[in-house]
Amino acid sequence: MKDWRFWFAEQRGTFMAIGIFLVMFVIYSSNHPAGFSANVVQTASNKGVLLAFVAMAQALVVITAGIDLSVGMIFTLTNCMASWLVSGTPLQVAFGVIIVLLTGAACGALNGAIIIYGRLQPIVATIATGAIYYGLALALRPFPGGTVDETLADALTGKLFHFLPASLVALAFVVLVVWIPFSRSVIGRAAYAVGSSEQAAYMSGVPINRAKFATYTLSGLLAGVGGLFLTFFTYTGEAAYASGNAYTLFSIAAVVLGGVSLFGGKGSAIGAIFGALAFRTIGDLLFVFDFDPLWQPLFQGVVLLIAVSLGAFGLLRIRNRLDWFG
Amino acid sequence: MLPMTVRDNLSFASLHRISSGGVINRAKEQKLIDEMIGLLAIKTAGTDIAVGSLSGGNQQKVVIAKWLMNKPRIILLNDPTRGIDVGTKQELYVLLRKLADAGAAIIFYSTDYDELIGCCYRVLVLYDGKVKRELVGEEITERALIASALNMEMGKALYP
Amino acid sequence: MNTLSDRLPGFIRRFDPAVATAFACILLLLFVGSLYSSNFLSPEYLLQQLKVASFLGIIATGMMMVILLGQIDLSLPWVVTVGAMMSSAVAGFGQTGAILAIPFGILCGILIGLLNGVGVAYLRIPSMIITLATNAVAQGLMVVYTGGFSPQDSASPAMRFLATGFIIPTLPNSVICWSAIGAAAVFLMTRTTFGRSIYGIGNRERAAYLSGINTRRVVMTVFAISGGLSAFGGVLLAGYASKAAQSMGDAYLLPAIAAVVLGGTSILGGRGSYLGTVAGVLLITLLQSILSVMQMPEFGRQIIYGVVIILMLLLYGRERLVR
Repeated sequence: MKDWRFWFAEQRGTFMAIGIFLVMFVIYSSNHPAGFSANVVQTASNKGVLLAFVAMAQALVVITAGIDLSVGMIFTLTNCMASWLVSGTPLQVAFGVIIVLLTGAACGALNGAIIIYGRLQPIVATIATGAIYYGLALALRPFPGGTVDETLADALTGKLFHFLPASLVALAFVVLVVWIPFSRSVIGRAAYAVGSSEQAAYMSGVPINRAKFATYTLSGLLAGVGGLFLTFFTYTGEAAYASGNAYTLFSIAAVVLGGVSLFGGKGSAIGAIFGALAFRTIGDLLFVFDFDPLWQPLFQGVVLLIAVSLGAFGLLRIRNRLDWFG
Repeated sequence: MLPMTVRDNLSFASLHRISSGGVINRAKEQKLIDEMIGLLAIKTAGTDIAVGSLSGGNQQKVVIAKWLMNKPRIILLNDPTRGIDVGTKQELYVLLRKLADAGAAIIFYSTDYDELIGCCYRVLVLYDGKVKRELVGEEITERALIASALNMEMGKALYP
Repeated sequence: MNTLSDRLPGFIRRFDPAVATAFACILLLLFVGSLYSSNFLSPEYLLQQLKVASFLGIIATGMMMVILLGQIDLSLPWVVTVGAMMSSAVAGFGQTGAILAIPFGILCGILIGLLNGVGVAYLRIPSMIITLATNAVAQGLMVVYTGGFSPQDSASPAMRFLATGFIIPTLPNSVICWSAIGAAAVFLMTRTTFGRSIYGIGNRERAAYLSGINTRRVVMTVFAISGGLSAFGGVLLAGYASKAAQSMGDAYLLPAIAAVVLGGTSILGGRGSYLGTVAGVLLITLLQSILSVMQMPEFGRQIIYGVVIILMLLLYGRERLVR
């Protein structure tokens, strides 16, 4: 049997996500009043990329069979930080960007440390750290405001060569620089092993703690990139609880849509990206079809419900009832 | 269910016997449990300690006792003595003999030849999804078992 | 094996260290609170705290049962809101409406819970994701119903009576509700086959199934109960404020989970007692009220809230090393 067949079967979730996204996007752009123009793609890309970054962050953690309910708050915190720091002389701007990214990574590292060395369950630990990060964000920005270097912001949310959204290029860059090296490294492999079966990974001498720590830190970093981008997009920093919460929950949805198993060990961040883009596009579909925006939350919810129920069809293939249980 | 108590584990399969309308009758439960612990000689410091703290053999006894509480007429056992110490194995064999003598039908799957020879009236050897051979009484010998299991005809040994 | 724990008398052995720590922290909080304000320890104030805690308490009861199964119910925010809004809506329909308001609100919660339960038990969808989805659907339905505005219906007199009235002088009705529900929950958990099944499933669903328990039906029923209790909490909250409000349930999700976990219930399921959940609820309520008595600005509250939860979890929520 050819090797590529195995690879294809492994990546089935990711390909499904890509498929769903393409279908949704075709429907969206063909019905958009402005048609398939560069501007339409740019706006869609900007909004989608925000969720994509947070979804990537969540995917990393979910691969290790964990969950991070604080990604939305890291996103918000870095947004508020960036609204303070990323402005001024080019040197200050560069410095600001680095500090913001480091903050994201630090938040992730804190999550990791508490979960690994404190031996707490990820769900509860990240609920608590999420509250802490939100508090910090609120301290930085009790009211929306702040500025950001406009040339940088416009460059990264604008278009290259008049048609390619710069945000997509940035997304691709981050994938290239963060995800690809990670997934091919020993640490990345270890992360998958930990998610698959932590005990077996331990028995096999896999560096569990290092893998988990690296995962959470990178996840924080990616959420930080997302927060940075939000600042570029909106020119302000805002500590909005509802928005942060929504990003956390949507990132979980995107991750599931992207074929990453919540039980760990399976899936890829690329799938999560397409899951995020698909999720955003679905939301925008309503706008395109001129439905009352009042129906949008319901529509998104129902679509989510259907999407996750689709996974249940795998059940029909199971012949031994015991396979239902882990 | 390792963290749960011996009592909880024992009564799990027979909850309908010790309860009425969903409410558990503690007195009845205790009586049945004490009976079982006596019958199988389960060595435990008490019924309220976690089953995970018992030895492997005793844990297996708890599992078997759990189902015996239902007073079954037909008992299916899948490798019940795997990984258990010799002493406990002996106790299990004696118990199974008692149950069989009392009228229960016991179907016993095992890969341990000595066990089969010692315990069973009849042995069915399966090969390739079909019953290859049925050995009864005196016919159950180690040689016969292995030969049937490996799908070799008796008498046509590889090495004479 | 003659370890120390075997030599202690039975009732001390059964005393969960987590619950003990939780109650100790409650005493600590009461002490800290009294430092800030002299009437913190007054009976009126404490009863007021109990009343506020009872809403969270009822909601946390449902969440505790779900967590005991090893699952989670993230649809809590909008089930609470649905309970509040639907009961208020029905309350506006005259005499029959006033009678049917509370049952109808609870029924809506049960229906959403059933949806969750079927998804988790029969379709084997991870509870985290399906309850997220039902939460979104519930939100969508309510947004459509209210047209995006604040709901105009107000609570029925019965709802208001349950939430703010006094059958027994000085003891708020909602506390009585909480006690009744709590007593029923304790009975269910400790003395019925249903309760045993919940603990068994939370420990190892496979073993419970192999022992002849109808695990799927139990799981589905627990989610339905959780939905009903959350909705009832919403009904009471609407009675307390005399009307429902958008997003009123959002503030209850994290505290409910935190209360259950701080009370010693393992998030993985199979372990926990209701006494612990009661302690957890009181703890969270006291913490929130101390923070407001101290006039701590919102950002400080969030940070302290998170830090306290982490510290307490580090005290007794640590998992054993899986080696």
